[in-house]
Amino acid sequence: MTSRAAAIRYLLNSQDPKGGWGFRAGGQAFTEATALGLLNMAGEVPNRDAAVHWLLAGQHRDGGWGVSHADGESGWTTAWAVWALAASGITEGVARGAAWLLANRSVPVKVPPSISRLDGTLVGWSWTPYTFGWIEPTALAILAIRASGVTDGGAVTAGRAMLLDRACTGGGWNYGNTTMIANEVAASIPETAQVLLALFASDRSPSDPKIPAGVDYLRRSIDPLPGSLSLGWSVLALSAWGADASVAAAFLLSAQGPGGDWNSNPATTAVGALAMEAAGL
Amino acid sequence: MKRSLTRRNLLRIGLLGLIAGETAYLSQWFGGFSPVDLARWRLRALAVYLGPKPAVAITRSSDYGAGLLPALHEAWRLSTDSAAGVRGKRVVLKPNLVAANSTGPATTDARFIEASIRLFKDLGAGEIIIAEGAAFETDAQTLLARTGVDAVLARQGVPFVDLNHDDLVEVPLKGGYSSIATLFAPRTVVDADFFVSLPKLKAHHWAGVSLSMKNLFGIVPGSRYGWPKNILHWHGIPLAILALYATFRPHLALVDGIVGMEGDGPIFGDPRNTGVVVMGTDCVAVDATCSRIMGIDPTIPDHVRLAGAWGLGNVNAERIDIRGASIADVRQVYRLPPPIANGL
Repeated sequence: MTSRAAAIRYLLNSQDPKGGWGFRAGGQAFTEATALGLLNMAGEVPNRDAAVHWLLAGQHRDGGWGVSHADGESGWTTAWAVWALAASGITEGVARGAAWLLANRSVPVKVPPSISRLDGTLVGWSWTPYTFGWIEPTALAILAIRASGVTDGGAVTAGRAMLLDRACTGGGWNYGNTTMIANEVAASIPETAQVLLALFASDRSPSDPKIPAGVDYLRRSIDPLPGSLSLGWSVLALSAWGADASVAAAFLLSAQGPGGDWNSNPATTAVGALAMEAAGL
Repeated sequence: MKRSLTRRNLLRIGLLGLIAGETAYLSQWFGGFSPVDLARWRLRALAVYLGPKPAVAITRSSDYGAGLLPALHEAWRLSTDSAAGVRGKRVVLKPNLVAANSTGPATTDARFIEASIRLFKDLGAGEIIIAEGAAFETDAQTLLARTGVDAVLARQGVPFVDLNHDDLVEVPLKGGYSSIATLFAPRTVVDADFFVSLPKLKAHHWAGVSLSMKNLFGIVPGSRYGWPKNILHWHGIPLAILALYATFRPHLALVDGIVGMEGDGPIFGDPRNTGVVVMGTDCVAVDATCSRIMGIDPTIPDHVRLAGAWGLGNVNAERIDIRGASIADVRQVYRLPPPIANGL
């Protein structure tokens, strides 16, 4: 059995009866984890349909999603749901979800240079509505909007500009602060990988030197060995940009549990399964 | 009937004037407050002031070596009573593991966490959990590896719960301090029998100090609110801290002051050997005491000052029962964070 097949088996066994996944087997189901699970269900029709049903049951009247079915406020996890549904060939709910994303971009803020070097007037997406923009929600919204195929009116281009502005000096991205007062803030792996995937989804030419610098940051970040979630995202981003992902994939493979899981966590396992697919393992 | 200006009437006028002035002052910075709430908080502060003095223990350990566990036991003996017993309880220790990549002592030291686990094992805790939701890290496994906490967990056989990805319970925020009405909170914290804030002694460039109350930012789940918990900044850091403290009030504050962080905390500050353990059940009193140990006036950090002014605990030095070493014995003068030093 391949690594990916073992991971898929774990995901099938950890899906809850209503079709959702959480961050631990038997735990609450979350929009993010369920979307990640759905991205792996192409060949598993009943489980895919159950996941789609779970997601659509959680869509709010305004078109967005909350963190789980218990959350009545739409927020950043809308991007996860739209991306996963659209990438799985589902049209129901996608246009409304994408419309919510386009109507709920981040609030521009003039950030004094004494606080951070970033340009806060560039508009991306925020974690919660009516607040400042950050890296992960912006990257995911770009992935979602591109997957949905909707006309974005320049929102993706603006989001790309925001992402590129927030690149760290040494290459890569973090949660979204390039500098904090007088200090450079270090990059981190999952955010760097998600940005690279979003940039790839919106323009496949490495037109900005920050892109190869980000790829190089990921290649360097294997030592010291990061966690499985970071390795999984690394493999996905490196593979997308045609870079060598074999070392990260090998480390990820060695960290897989005997039950096919990573960290007994369905969401991390779903990222790992996508990474193994990209690596052909 | 002619009314005389009695002492009682003078007090009433004074209190009303104080509340009106405070309402106007605070509205400039944090938005409006109800005068009724302010009156309630001020009266509670009076009751706290007149109530029993909380005990705060200061014990010494020059490093994270063999002397640390005895210092923790001594601090427990000095600062707690039978009501704070933990025998058979589910104890949740919440260290500050804000980031993995800091070059300074930004996080509660792994050896301090290990000694704390051993303390609660010795005290007969039924179950011990280490729980944190880092503000700057989405990958908890990487964070634990790079802070050395994963090795502690393995040695002590204690689980870690990533509060950024825990099951969630929607909880009304108490006190009326924040415009956030409810919070999706990690079940591990909500269900704890005995919840311990286990912070690092450090300066913080926005909050002034980051101690047992500010440490509660780490229970706000990233899965819902994102990183770096910006929703709390957006609604005002001091008031968000008060709301979290009023709602999830830890049973104990246990501060890693062996090596503190001065200057540009919470990430980029410099180490400062201080050699203290600070412990108490009144987090406000503990944070005020720690501020004094750092040479920072506890009325400078807004959240500490307001927590005292509004009766969430004691800030006044005369109303805190310091046990063990005195503040004068251990006091240092930490370099202030740049925004505070520059009066920003």
